[in-house]
Amino acid sequence: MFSKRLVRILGVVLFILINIVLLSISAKHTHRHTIIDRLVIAGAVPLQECVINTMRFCRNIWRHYFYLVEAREECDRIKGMIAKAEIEKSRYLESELACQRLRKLLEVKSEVSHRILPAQVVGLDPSGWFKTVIINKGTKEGVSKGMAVIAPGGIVGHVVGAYYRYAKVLLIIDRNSAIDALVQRTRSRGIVEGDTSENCRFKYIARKADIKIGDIVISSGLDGLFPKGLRVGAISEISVPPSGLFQEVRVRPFVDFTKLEELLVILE
Amino acid sequence: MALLLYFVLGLSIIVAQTTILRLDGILYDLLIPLVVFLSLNFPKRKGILVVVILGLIMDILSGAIFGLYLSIYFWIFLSVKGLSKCFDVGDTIFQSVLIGVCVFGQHFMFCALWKGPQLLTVRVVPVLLQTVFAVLTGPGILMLLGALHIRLQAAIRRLERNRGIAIR
Repeated sequence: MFSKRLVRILGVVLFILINIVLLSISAKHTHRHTIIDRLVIAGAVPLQECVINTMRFCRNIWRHYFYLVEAREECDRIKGMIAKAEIEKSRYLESELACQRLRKLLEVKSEVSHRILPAQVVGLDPSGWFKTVIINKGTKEGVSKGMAVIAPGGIVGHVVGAYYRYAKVLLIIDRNSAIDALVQRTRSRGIVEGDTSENCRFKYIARKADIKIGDIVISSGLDGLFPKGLRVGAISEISVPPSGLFQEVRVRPFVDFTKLEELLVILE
Repeated sequence: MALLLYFVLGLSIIVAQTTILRLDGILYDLLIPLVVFLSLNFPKRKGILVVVILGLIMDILSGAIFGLYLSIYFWIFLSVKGLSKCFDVGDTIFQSVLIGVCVFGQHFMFCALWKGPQLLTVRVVPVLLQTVFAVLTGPGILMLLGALHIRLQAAIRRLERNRGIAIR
């Protein structure tokens, strides 16, 4: 009488209606937890928990570990930036110091009436016994043997060897160096010679000569090497031996020979 | 070829000693172990050439009496050559003493030519320090140079074998 298809449709509609009715009845009554509910909860929730925890763990790994990696990378990047900034700072500081040194050199240049040539120290003496330096100016720039070399502090030495682009300067603290000098205050004359230390000896100062510690020693200009009036150093030690004609005097040079960088060669 | 490399090494030592290294303290002249090594490992004619050139360069750069370094290296080279015929030069203690004596000898020469009678009172502490340091480190430097020499020889032999040309 009814086709199969119509029966199937009617069955689905009926099922939907029953479902709706049951839902309506269920909505009106509160649900009581049965043993089935408990069993399902007891079996499923731990699994859920496990999955959730795993996911949370993974998320935490992602959030923390990978985030930490990123943070680490960022930290490294910042460290690199700081290092770069430090280098920059050091360079600026170096530039500032160089500027100060060059300004001092300019001041000296304006004080000295002679024609002078700025030079830089490019090499030191290979032994500790001799005190010489190599400068980056030579015969090409007009430097020749015997020319005086000065620094902002005072006399440095004189040229003992001139090459095309370089020159060798014998420092006043070398034992082979000698400068005819005089005490600025009293005009007592003597010879400043290099010594084993960073100091110089001031020889041939008469016993009666009026000198005291701190007196400034300047070049006399009589040796033909150094112009008159250039500062050599200050008297640091005086001793009068019981016998002999002269006092034993030591002079501390104004120039710090351990930090020599820029020099001035007096060309005339 | 090998000598050229040792010459370059010597040159590097000179440059370092005249710029960044200060020989005023504990550090001694590092060319001395090189000269000793050249004397022990190279024939007289070949080794002396490098030693003389290095000495000459040192003399030019230094404020010392011209020829002083050249003489010192030259005599160290010849003395070690002579000693190597009589003693076991591979012995570490012998090498220590040898380097120490050479460093002290160099200072003695400087001192003798520079101060004369005041020899013992001048710069005693740095001289002794450098001598002791040379005694302690000398054999190590010789060992390093020895290892370098072995590798260099092997490389040269390989090159010769591969290319079939005499490089030396």
